[in-house]
Amino acid sequence: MAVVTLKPAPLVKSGELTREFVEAYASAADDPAWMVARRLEALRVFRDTPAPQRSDELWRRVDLSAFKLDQVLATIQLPTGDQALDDDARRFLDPFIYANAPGVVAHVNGAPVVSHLDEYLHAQGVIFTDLLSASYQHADWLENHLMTECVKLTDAYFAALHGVFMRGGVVLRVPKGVRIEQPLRAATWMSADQRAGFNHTLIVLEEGAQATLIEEFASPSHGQPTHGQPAQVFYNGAVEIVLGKDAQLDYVSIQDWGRNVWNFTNERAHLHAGATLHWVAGGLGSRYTKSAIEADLLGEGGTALLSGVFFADGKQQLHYDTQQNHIAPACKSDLLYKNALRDEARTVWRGNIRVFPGAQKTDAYQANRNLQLSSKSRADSIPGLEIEADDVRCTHGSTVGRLEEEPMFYLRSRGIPEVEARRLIVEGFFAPVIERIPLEETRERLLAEIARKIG
Amino acid sequence: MDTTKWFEIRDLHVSVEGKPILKGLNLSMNPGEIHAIMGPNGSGKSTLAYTLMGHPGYEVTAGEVIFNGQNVLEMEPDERSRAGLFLAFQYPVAIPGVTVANFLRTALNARIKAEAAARNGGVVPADVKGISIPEFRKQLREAMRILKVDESFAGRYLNDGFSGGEKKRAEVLQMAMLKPKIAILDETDSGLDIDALRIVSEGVNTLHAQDSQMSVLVITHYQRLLNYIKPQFVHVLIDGRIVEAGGPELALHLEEKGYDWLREPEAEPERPSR
Ligand SMILES: Nc1ncnc2c1ncn2[C@@H]1O[C@H](COP(=O)(O)OP(=O)(O)OP(=O)(O)O)[C@@H](O)[C@H]1O
Ligand SMILES: [Mg+2]
Repeated sequence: MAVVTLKPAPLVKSGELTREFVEAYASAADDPAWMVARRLEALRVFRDTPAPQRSDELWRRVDLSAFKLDQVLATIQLPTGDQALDDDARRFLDPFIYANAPGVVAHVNGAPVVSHLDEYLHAQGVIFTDLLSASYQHADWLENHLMTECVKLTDAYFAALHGVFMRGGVVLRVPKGVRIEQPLRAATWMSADQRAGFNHTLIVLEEGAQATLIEEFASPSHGQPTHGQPAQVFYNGAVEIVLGKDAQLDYVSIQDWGRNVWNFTNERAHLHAGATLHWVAGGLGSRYTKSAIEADLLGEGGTALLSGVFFADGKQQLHYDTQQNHIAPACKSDLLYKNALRDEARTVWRGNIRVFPGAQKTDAYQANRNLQLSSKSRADSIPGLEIEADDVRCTHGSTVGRLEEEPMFYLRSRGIPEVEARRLIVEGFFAPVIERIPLEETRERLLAEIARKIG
Repeated sequence: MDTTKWFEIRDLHVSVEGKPILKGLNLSMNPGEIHAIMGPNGSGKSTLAYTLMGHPGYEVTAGEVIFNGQNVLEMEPDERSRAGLFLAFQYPVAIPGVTVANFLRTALNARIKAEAAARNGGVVPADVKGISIPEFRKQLREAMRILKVDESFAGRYLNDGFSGGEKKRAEVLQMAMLKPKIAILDETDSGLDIDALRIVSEGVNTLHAQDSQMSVLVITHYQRLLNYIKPQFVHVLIDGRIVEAGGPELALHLEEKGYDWLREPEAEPERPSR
C-alpha cells in the first residue's frame, strides 16, 4: 500500500541563497576570514534547517502569509560603509551620541557610527564596541564566543539565517571582578530605504563582573513604497548573554521598529552559579514580532528576573516565547510580561518553565498580564510548566483584563480628560515593569512613546 | 424672573439598570452653605452623589441640575470636576501603578490646560506649561500638613492597599488640592477612627475657612460628624425623595428616633421642635 505524505507548507520561503551572494556580502561587509567562514557555515546549517511550519507548536498561531521573505532576501543590499544620517536618524541617535555614558555604540543600517568606551574601562580590559571592530580587534575571543555556546546556528531557522547575515550590533566583555556602575548605551537605527537588519548583541560578564546595558532599536514607519505597497523590512537579530559566576547584569532592550518591520529574534542568557540577571524587554514597534527569549540557569544559586512591557496597536502582532530553564538547583526565576493592546492588535505570550531532574529547591514564577483597550484586540496567554524535580516551587498566573469603567470614572471625576485617564491607567499598568529600567531617560522615552500610542 | 439658585437640583429622577432609585429629588444650595443629607441604607444617597458627578451607570430619566447657570447633566465627568464639582467617594477606587503625586499633578495640569484652551478658542496652546514641580510640591505639602498625612503618601499608588481610613484621608487630600466650589462628601466619616475623624473634619473646615464661597454637601449616617462639620441645613432622603428638611437639630432628632417616623406617612409623626 502506498503511503502518501503531504509535505507541510512552510510559513516562509527564503528563495535561493547562493554561496556567491554570501561571499559578496561578507566581502562588502569587510569581514575577516574567520567571519566569512562562519557565514558559510551558517549558510550550510540554514539550508539543512526546515522553515517553520504551521504544525510547529511555536508557530501555530502565526499568520505570515503577508510576509514575503524571499522577496526581501532577493533585494537585500550589500553592506555599505559610511552612513549619512538623515533627520530621523539624528533625532533618534542624538540622545545616545551625546549621552553621558561610560560607553556608547550606535549603528545605522548595520554600520557603526559611534563606538566609544571611557579610557579607564578600556584600561581594565573591558571590551565595548561594535561587532565589526571586535571581529578584527578581538578576533580569537569573538570567534570562540560568537554563536558557539549561547545562541547557536542550529537552534532555529531564524538563528541560522541570522548567522549568515549578522552585521552590526554590540560586543560587551567585562573581565573578572570589574564593575561598571553607569549604564552603557547602544542604539540601532534602520533608515527608510533599508530592506533588512541583522544586529547581534553579545554580552559576556566574567566572574564577579557587573554591568548595565541599555539597547534601543528604531526605524521610521514611512518606508519607501514599492509598487504602491509599503516595502517590507526584515529584522533578524540575536542576543547572547553569558554571565560567569556571581556576575550581575541589567539588560534593557527596547524595540520601536517602524510598522513595516517583520521582526524575528533569538535571545538567550546563560547564568552560571550565583549570577544575577535583570532583563527588561520592551516592544512597541514592528508589524510583526516573533521573539524567543530564554534564560538558562546553569549553576547553583542563579537569579533571573525577566520583565516585559509591550504595547500593540493597529494591526500589530507581537509574539513572545519565553523559556525559563532550571538546570541547576537552588535557582530563582521570576518573569513578568505585560501587554497592552488596542485596535485590532494581537499578542501571544507562550511561557514555559522547565525544571530539569536534579534542579531541587527551584523557585520559579511566571506571570503574564494583558490589558485590552479595545474589544477587537486579542491576547493569548499560554503558560506552561515542565517539572522533573520534586522539591520545587513553581507558580504561574495569567490574566486578560479590559479597561474598567470604575477607575476611568474615578480619574475623570478629578477633571482628567478621557484620553489622559486612559494613559494614566496604562502607565500604571506598566509601572511595575518600567520601574525596573535603571535609567530615567529611557523610562521617560518609553512613557512618552506609550502616551503617543494612546492618542 | 429667573429664580434658579446657584446650585439647584430639580425633580431629579435616576434609574440604575432600569430600576428607579431617585424619584423626584429637589435640593438647592447657596455659595458657602453646608448641607447634610441623611437617610437609611439604600435610600439613594450615593446614587445622588454619582449622578451629580456624571457616572455613566446612572441614567437620568427626568429633572435638571443647574450649577452657576450651567446644565450639569450635559457635561462630562471631567468637565464637571473642572467646573468646580467634587465628590469624595464612599468607596474610592484603587489605581495601581499611579502614585498620588503623579495623579494629582495630572489632575491640576488638566485644569490648567482646560483653562488655557478656553481662552484660546478651545485649543490648548502649544506653549502652555503645567504646574511647576516646586509649586506643586509646595501645594501638596500644605495639603498634607492640613490633613496630617505622612510625606511618603505622595509616592504610594493611589488607594492601592490603602486602609479604609487612609482612603478617606486621600479623598479629602484631593479636595484640598483641587479646591472645588461644591464638595460632596459621601460617608467620608465611615472607616475613620476618632482621631482621624477629627483631623479630616478639621481639614474640611480649614478648606471652608480658606474659601468661604465653597459649599459642602455632607452625606452621613452619624450625627457625630456633624458635631465637627456643622451644617446649616439637614435633608432626609428616603426612597429616592427628600422627605424632610430642617436645621442641625433634625440630625439630633434622627439620631434619637431613627427614620421610621418618616417612613410611614399614616403614623402620627412626632415633629422635632424648631
Ligand atoms: N451600580 C448599581 N447596580 C445596581 N444597583 C445599584 C447600583 N448602585 C445603586 N444601586 C441600588 O440603588 C439603591 C440605592 O443605592 P445607594 O448606593 O444610592 O444607597 P445609599 O443611600 O448610598 O446607601 P448606603 O447608606 O448603604 O451607602 C440600592 O438599592 C442599590 O442596591
Ligand atoms: Mg452610599
